[in-house]
Amino acid sequence: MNIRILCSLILLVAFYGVTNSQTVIIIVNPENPVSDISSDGLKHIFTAERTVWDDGNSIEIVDWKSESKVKVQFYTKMLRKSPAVVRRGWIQKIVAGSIYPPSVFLSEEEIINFVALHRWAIAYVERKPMPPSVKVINVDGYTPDDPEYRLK
Amino acid sequence: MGKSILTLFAVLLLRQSAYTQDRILDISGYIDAGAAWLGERTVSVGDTAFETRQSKFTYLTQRFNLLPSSEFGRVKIFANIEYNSGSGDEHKSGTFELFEAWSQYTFSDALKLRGGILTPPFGAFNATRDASPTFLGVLPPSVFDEGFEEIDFMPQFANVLIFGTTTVGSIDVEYALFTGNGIGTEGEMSIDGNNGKDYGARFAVTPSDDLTLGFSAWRSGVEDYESGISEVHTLFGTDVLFSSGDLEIRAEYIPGYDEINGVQFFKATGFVITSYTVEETVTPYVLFDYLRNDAHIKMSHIQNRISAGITYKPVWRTALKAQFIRDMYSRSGVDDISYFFVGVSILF
Repeated sequence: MNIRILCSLILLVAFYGVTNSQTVIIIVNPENPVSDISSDGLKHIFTAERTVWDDGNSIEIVDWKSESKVKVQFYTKMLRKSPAVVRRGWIQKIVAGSIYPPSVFLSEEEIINFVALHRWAIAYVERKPMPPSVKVINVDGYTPDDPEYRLK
Repeated sequence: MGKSILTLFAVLLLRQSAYTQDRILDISGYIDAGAAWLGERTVSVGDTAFETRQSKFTYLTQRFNLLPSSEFGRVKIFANIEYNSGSGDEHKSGTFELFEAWSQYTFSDALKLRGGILTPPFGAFNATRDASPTFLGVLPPSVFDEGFEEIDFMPQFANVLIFGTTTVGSIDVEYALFTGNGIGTEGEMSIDGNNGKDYGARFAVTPSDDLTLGFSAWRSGVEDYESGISEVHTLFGTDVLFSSGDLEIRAEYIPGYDEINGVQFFKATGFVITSYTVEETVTPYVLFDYLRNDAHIKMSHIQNRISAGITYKPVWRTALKAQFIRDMYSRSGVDDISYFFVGVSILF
């Protein structure tokens, strides 16, 4: 009986682990010429260390307002900093004139709509079919289908 | 005719904006408001006299700053306009001060050129300019207190800045070179245009995700041709930022020299701030400040400050804060002072 309970618990934990891990994709406006970005580049953008695209236009950071699974995964795997520390850095850079206040939204729909309307915006969302108004870009040369894709 | 030209200009500007998504005018800003209880204290009045002041409770609108900016392609224009509520200097109450005003040309992240009135990135604190301390959960080091600019401890403004960030191997590198008209040039300007110019640099490396090390240097020299007094100010800064998960430790030490008519006086300042954030919203912290300046009679003592506080951020643009501060002086006749402060800060 105890073994059954133990097995059930292991299966439950394993199932939770699978469902809790999801692929995160990076989206930009289709008019943005960028089609691939490095992990370091992505980290530098969201920590506001990098502020402009290669053509000199200011990057518009888009983030999630609340603690979502996709946000936890992105901050843990990519930025390796807590949201509080990252946002403190944003405020310092806003006050210093280095960046504009990042746009923060509650829902995926709002994020996709914002990126669709802003040419220099970048955001991360959970992997699912995206409308043609946004473009999914590779990370470190890998598409989200590749096994080496980092944000799985 | 005039209106037609203006309309045409506006249409061209808007069309250009629609095409390149330039920002014609973007305004953000921040407001700090709070209340403070100050204990009974003895303060310096003049260089040698003292005065005892009773404890009091005050309400202050500490800061109201507007940050207008425009961007056209690679060119950005930015200003920081501060409204003086009189909390620092009652003579300035009700006035607006141009805290920063600069234009910047961005070649790339590795090379940016900025000119105007700007904050020089000397040391970790100035480089990030925590202008809204309530928001950030930490108090600026005491060297940033009102009145400290008169002791030439920190470059206040620069006029030209070349800076950038790049990655060398796996190490992030930041650099900044700046120059300005300097300080100590009150009174009649001399015909020597280079008199009072200052020069500074900052270099920082981030060898890992957790650690940033910074080094700064600054030098300013001025000669008063009427009085024959010459002054040279030199500062060196070392700073460390350690950030792991929700734990953050920031420390900075700035030793320097004031050379007045060839005689050298030592001075130094520094601080250590440790904070830990819980659930993205609550940040308790402890701050220790140190200040020593041998060159000025009024400031020629060691001042230590210990602060402890907690910040609550219900949303990332709003912060509520409670903080206890104690200033400790090594000068006879001057008592230690305690403060208790509660405040709110909003970024808009």
